[in-house]
Amino acid sequence: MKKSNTKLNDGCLKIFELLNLLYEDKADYHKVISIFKDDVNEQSTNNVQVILNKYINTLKVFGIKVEKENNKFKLKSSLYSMPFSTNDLKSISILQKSIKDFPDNDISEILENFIETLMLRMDNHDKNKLNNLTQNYDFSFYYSNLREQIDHCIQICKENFIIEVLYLKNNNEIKIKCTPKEVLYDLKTAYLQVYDIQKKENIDIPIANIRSIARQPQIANPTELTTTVVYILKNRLAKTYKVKENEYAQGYDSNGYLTIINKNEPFDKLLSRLMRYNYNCEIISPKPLRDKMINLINETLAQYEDIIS
Amino acid sequence: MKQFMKTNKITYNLMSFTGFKSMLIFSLLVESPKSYDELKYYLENHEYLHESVSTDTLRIYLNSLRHIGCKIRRISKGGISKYTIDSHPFELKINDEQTKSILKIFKTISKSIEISDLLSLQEFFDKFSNYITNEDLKLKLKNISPLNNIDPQIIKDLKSYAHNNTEIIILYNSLNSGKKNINIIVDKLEINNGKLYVYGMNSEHKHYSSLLVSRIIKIIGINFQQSELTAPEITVTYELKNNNGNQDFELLNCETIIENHKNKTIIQINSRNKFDIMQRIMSLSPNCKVLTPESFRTDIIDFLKQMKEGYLEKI
Repeated sequence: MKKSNTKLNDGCLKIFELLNLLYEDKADYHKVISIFKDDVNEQSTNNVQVILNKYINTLKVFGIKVEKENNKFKLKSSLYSMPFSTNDLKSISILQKSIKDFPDNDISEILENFIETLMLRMDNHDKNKLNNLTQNYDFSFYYSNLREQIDHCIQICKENFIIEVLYLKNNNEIKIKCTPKEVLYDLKTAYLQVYDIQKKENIDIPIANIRSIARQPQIANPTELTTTVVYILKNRLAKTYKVKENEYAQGYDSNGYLTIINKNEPFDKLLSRLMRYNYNCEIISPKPLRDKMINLINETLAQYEDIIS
Repeated sequence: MKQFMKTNKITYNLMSFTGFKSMLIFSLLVESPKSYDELKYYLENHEYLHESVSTDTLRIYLNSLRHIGCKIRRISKGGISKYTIDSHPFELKINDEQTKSILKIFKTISKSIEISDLLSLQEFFDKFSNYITNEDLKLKLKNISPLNNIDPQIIKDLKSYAHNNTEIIILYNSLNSGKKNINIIVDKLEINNGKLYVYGMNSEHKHYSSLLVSRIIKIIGINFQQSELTAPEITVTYELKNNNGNQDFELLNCETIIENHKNKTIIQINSRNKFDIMQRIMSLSPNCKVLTPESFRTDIIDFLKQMKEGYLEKI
């Protein structure tokens, strides 16, 4: 550690340097030993080991649990504890239970590590309280049996090559050339979100409906993957609308209409959502989507042709 | 260590006393502000240490803590200076990967958990978003819940009133007419389109309808007399084409299949809230056609005509 002109306490710096490695989960033996090498000046490694033991003992006497696993020191309790409310513990329990059967291993592992970092800062009383929470949650995801397919889709998204997907939609097989974007989930369905190169739109394909994925030699061009839709909201809805995660509002015009800029929402889902807003919503651009909405309205009206005429 | 365990006495050979004192001073300053005299007292009276430490030595410890990244603040009051650690390098840090994973899990489960659980998660996100360094993600986590920016006590109270269909008076900030008192017999709380609504019979609309909970300023009165929720249920029948779109179609709890044909399904939907049924029917366009009642069908046709006119005006 670089020392400034201010007088510093070497033992203090060393114990906190050791703690820093432990907190960052980077306390490999060779890194830890290098903290104390200056203290021995060309003496044998054994002496460094003795000094290291002194510092590890210091942590233990202070009440901090440290264990050595595979040539790496692991922190098992913290220098300080954070206060966790009952709500916090309940939320941690919900997260713990939700990742138990979640088919995306990457996400489950990341959240397991996150919960570990929280528990590291939890005192024994709160740990016991968390273990004793008995609330049951049904997170038996409907697509748990699709684990292999989901893994494959996650891998394909990481590779970022153009793909050809054959999938089933309304009992018809559809083949599209597209760029894989990400795997998305709701409680009942896991989707592979792709960017359809020909139609220039995002599509969420239920993974259960995918028949095959063929990787193409071309690398995906990330600049082509964004879709932008502009629509306006009118009347009461303009005042009460809560912008979605993939949107932002561009302010009100002189009529009190609110302009919304929507990015990357699959057009099918967006049209279905905007239909719910009926005459309080109007798509401005892109023109093909505006035309699609007009067709949708006309097709729906055509259902009632016999009654209207 | 064995010796320590047996006798509770520490020898200089077994541990670093400087390291021990550093951690003790750190913990004392994280706990609450302390003066140099208070720190000296703690060190002198500590069961393992019993050691007098000079002010100069303490100053060196504090400088060393600053050096490793602790933010130490001096508070002067009544001529006495106290020191406290405002932040330190061992604080929880939630990285981008962790935040994105929490967001993804939340989106997946949020529609299947109780409002009370959502409330817990909302409070948890509010508190722990302070440990996220990426400002965009911090904002996303804070805002992701539909209960964001609503007083949790109002939600808890409404939940309990819904349980007994209690009539209450609320101060409501109406979009059209500003702040006013509204009487409502509370039926249920529900999240719709990412916003929390309270449903019930209310004096504002004179029939069963919903109000945005975020616009309730406070609950100002309760009618302790037994209230009766007399709102009639609306029943609408519609047909849904089977082979043309709607691959994501899911029957709602308030829906029943009446008839199943090769090309279409006849479905009945029951709700006290006409607006909810309207939205449901519109979202299934163009594969859905209302059969009965006629008045509702006419309303849907009128909506569609108005939508069409809105688009035609600009062509």
